[in-house]
Amino acid sequence: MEIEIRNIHKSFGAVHANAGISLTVHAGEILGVLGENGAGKTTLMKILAGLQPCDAGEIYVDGKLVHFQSADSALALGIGMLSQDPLDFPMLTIFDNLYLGRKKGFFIQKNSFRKEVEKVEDLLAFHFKLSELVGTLSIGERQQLEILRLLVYGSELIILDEPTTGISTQQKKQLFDLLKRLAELGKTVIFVTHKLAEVNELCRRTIVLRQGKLVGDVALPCGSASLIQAMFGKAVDLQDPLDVSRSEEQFEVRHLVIKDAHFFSNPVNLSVRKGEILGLAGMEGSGQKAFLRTLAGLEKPLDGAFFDEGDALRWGSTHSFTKRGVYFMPAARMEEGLIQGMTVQEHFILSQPAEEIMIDRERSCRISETRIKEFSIHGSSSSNAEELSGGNQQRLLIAMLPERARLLLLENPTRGLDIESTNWIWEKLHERCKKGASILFASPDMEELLRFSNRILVFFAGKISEPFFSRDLNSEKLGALIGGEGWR
Amino acid sequence: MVSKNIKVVFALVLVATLLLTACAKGTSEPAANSEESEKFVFGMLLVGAYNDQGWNQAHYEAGLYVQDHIPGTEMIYIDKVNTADRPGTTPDQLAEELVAQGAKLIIFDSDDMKDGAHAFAAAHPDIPVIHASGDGAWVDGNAYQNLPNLANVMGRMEYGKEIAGCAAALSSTTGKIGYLGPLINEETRRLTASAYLGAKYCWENVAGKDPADLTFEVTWIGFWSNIPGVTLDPTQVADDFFNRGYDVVISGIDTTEALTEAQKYADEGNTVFAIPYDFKGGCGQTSGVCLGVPYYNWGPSYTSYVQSAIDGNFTPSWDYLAPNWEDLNNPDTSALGFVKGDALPEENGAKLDDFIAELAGGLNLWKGPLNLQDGTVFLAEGETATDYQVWYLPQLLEGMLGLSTAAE
Amino acid sequence: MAVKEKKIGFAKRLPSSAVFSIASTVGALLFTSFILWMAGAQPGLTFEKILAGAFGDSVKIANGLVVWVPLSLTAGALIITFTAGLWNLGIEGQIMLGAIAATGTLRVLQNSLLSPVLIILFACLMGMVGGALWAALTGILRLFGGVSEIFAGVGLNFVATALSLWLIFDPWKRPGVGSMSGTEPFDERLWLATIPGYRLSLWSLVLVVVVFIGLFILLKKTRFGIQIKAIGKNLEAARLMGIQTRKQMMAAMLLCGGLAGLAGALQVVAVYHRLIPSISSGYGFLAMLVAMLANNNLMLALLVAYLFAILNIGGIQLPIVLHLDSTLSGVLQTALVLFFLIMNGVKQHLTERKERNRHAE
Ligand SMILES: Nc1ncnc2c1ncn2[C@@H]1O[C@H](COP(=O)(O)OP(=O)(O)O)[C@@H](O)[C@H]1O
Ligand SMILES: [Mg+2]
Repeated sequence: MEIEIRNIHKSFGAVHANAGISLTVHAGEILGVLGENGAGKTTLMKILAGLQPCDAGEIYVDGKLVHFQSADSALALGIGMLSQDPLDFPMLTIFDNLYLGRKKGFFIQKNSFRKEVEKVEDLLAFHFKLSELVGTLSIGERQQLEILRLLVYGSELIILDEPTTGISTQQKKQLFDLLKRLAELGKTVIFVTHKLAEVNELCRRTIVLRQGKLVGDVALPCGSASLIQAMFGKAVDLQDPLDVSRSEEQFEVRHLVIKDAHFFSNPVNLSVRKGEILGLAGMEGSGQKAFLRTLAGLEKPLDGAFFDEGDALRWGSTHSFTKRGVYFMPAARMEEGLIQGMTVQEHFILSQPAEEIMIDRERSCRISETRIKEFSIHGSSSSNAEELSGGNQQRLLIAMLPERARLLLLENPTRGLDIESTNWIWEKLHERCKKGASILFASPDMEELLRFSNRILVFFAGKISEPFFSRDLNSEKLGALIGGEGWR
Repeated sequence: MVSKNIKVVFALVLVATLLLTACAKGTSEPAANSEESEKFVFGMLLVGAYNDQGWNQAHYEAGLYVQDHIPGTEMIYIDKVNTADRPGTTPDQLAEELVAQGAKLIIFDSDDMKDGAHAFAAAHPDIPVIHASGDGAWVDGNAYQNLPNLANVMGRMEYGKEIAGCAAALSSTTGKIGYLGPLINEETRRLTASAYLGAKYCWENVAGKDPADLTFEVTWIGFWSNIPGVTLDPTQVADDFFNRGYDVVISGIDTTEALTEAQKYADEGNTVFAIPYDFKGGCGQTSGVCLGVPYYNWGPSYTSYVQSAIDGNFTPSWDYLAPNWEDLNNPDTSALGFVKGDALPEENGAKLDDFIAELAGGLNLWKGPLNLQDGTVFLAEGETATDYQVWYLPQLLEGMLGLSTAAE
Repeated sequence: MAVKEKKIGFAKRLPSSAVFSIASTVGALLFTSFILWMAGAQPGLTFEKILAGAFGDSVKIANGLVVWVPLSLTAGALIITFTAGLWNLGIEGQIMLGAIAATGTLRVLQNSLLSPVLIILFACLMGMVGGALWAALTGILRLFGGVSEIFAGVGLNFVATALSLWLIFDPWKRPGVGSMSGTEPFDERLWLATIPGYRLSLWSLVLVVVVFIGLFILLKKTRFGIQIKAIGKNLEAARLMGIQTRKQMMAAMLLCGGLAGLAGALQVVAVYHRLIPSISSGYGFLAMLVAMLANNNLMLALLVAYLFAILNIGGIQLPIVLHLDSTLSGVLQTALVLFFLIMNGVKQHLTERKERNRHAE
């Protein structure tokens, strides 16, 4: 099936979300749709899937002009879109969920329908236990079920809008395998994302949207610099880590054995230099979080010691760690990092160590205003933390790290940020390093790890590797290590 | 955020007040007011529930008696006047509430309201105050207040308890008599001791049994009625007596747990009895367990206080009233009485009548030799106790089991 | 951008907050009326009697304030711990221990040559210490023993009740008497001076004002205040920010216990002039309702405490005039809180649904 769209326009009030987009999608290809948040990706996809009317423009399916009144009419023509949160019935079985949505004749036998489903499952090479409840499935499995549903109902084109948010690395791999298989079967896939690495991994061709316009149609793989330029309209210069080979060691970990819910680690010996950035790589839940939390004094290790310039830090009270400038920044922003119902200004007051009893409102207001400006947080001093968007919450978290922090333990510091914001945050972190702070950070993003750290520790099922110099690694090697290969 | 909450709750409080006012305005003022002004209203503070089948119901019914016998009088009352049931209030404060409702004479029905009664009497010299069971108006007493508007009244329940003790001794086969005591004070000590004296006398002299075989034990629950979590549970205390082979439990508290439990045990086939207290109808609906009830009859004395208040010649007095021995159960003349229960067989009933006749004839069980529980001499050989000695009995008597005072 | 979002949110929220509070109040009144009707009483007349009982004359108004003083002090105390996210159900015990400590102090000093003013002052101080120490026990159990402050507090309430009963029936009993009516009343010179003809002491009113100004400064203007707020809203985040969470939670407990103890001490020196078994008069639990209804806002707590106080005082009329149990005003109090919470829940649910719809678009 070939789809052509011509000169699509869509406005929301003053926002021109799609400003004259034309595009052809070929049968059997996986087309990437790249663009930063707000570029108009979702709008375009909804129009294509009949979920939203466009203001102007035409859609041709196999050369025929079509008009969609609803998602059903698009699906009837073979266009299906994976909803971001699947609207299934968790209390029903998988089979009933599939069966419920069927349109064809009222009297179709369950048995013949079951056969149809099984036929598609065979094609895709995965099988659900059809009698299981949907509620028991993981997010990744629900996506698979949704894809299965679309195919059962005759979808030729499948649209996925940011399907990788909220799923694990492993699930992501499974999803990508499934999508590639769909392409092999001759189905067309449109894959929407704001992550460069994902299109590079999955697609042969991507379009780039910026401010409602199509600004690029690129064959992949290609260098990230040009894609970034297309996405943001300007080149973003990337920082390299500082050269710390001559700076002094300030933190040392000796024979540290950490424990997680499922395992305890091998003993770790490590020293961290001033200004050094250490990345923690590994699949989620491999012990990185426990490692960071242990160093922050939040969890007791099974064994070992942690020295700050020769003084052993004692576990028991987190405060004795923060007093020495050891700070932990959690990935769960609203759950562990920020406080719902308190304002941005209050967050700055709270996070700044101070001895005085009374609050100097004027001074703290000044501090808050300057930080908001410096870290370009969209929001005011009096906004509550939960009113900020995710990216701004992340920026607030970084901005709250006190000046005197000497060891920053960051869990996914750029979670949910686009590349520009990520780079910008790293710029800020580099400034800290220049002032002598050391950073340990965990990230699921190999690119980020390789680009920003001096050295990398790899975590795999409770095992912690010796530190690698990132210049000795590349994404293949690191990927293998993360997957448990190549360990001595 | 904060200011929003303020508005929300402020609105709430405001609305609550307004609605309360609105609801209140919605109904017209009861038209009885002008009529009421000609009535003589007297107020009563009851320490327990007005229908407790005990002390408080006796007072409550006495109030009804006054209403019946002096036309134009009306009783208002608050019951459960104690800090557990009405936290944050004091008896004098509640008495003022009664005054606000038009009461011109106040009756405090419990020794526990002593401080409140005295404080109220002192603060309202124009209002006659009757403090039942108190001693603040007793010139020779320990707590004399010298207030011109305070009177005390108390029946000589020692006799009633002696009769109860006798009935218990006549009915007991195990010789173990339990006493369900309220809190410990002078009043409860002397009443418990009286029950013991009656029991001992009849055990020895009427039934002709060996005094060594008689066990008399008191367990104090801590208050006049059950307050969960604060007092001992009288139900459990009664059960405990029966379980340990005590076959008669005499109640000293204002409620009927002893009787209820006795009924329960009797229904299970045991031969056990109970003797309630305070209220003429105390035996209630039970069958085969109630030996009788010593009761107060406050009606006649209250009638005379109210009458004197109406006539404007109320004078303070301390009235320690004996029964009418001519007609023990006369509702208009006797300050206390004893109603025999259905569990007392005729034969024993006759013996009990003989005992009552002896008392009427001048038998005084408060006569030496009598020792206190710790062995010290209370009354020497041949000595009889004065009112003062009985009223302020410092300990239980020798031979009684149980605490004399809340442990020293 | 955040500001814009907020505006949208406001425009879309259909029923205003006032509607919800009116709804909850009407709900509570209807509910209580229903109960009254079931009990065979006229709701309108009942409410009228409550009002008359609370405002009938100046003595009654003063009596309302007598209840208001300990109630608002305790509610203020609870707001500290509620802010810190501590469900200090041990508040009753803390009031009792304050009363016990004050009584003990008075007993020791009553025959000394110190001036009565000093003795009363000292008794109040010791009351605060007593309450604070009792709260400290809960705090220690919670922070170092891992026992929920709810269970620890309730347990300690029982212990405090037992302790005060034991004192009243044993070492501090009236000569020869073990009675619920309490210990021997103190000499009148050790009574906190009241306005002549009333039970109300001006000093305790002044105290409430001073305490609440202090609380306002503490909660709004100090680092401690904002820190315990953070702790209450998100303990983990507060810890990560470097706040000494244990120390500050303990401090919140101590302050709360101290104020509750002060309320208990006032019950002794200003109201009962002795220790009685139910010296706390249930004000601790009532104050919880007050603090909840006031949403931990100090000014509102004063107001709601007053509403509850007049319901308490007004309710006394019910048994006299209508032969209704005076606990009916308690029903009204509880119903108010209940309906407020329900309406809050409904409101939250509706807003969340709105939000979801907005996101889904
Ligand atoms: N239903 C809507 N109402 C108003 N504005 C919308 C709506 N949907 C999208 N927009 C606006 O259109 C622009 C493009 O949005 P979208 O297509 O969701 O971007 P993307 O998916 O690339 O992040 C954004 O500025 C967004 O705020
Ligand atoms: Mg989108």
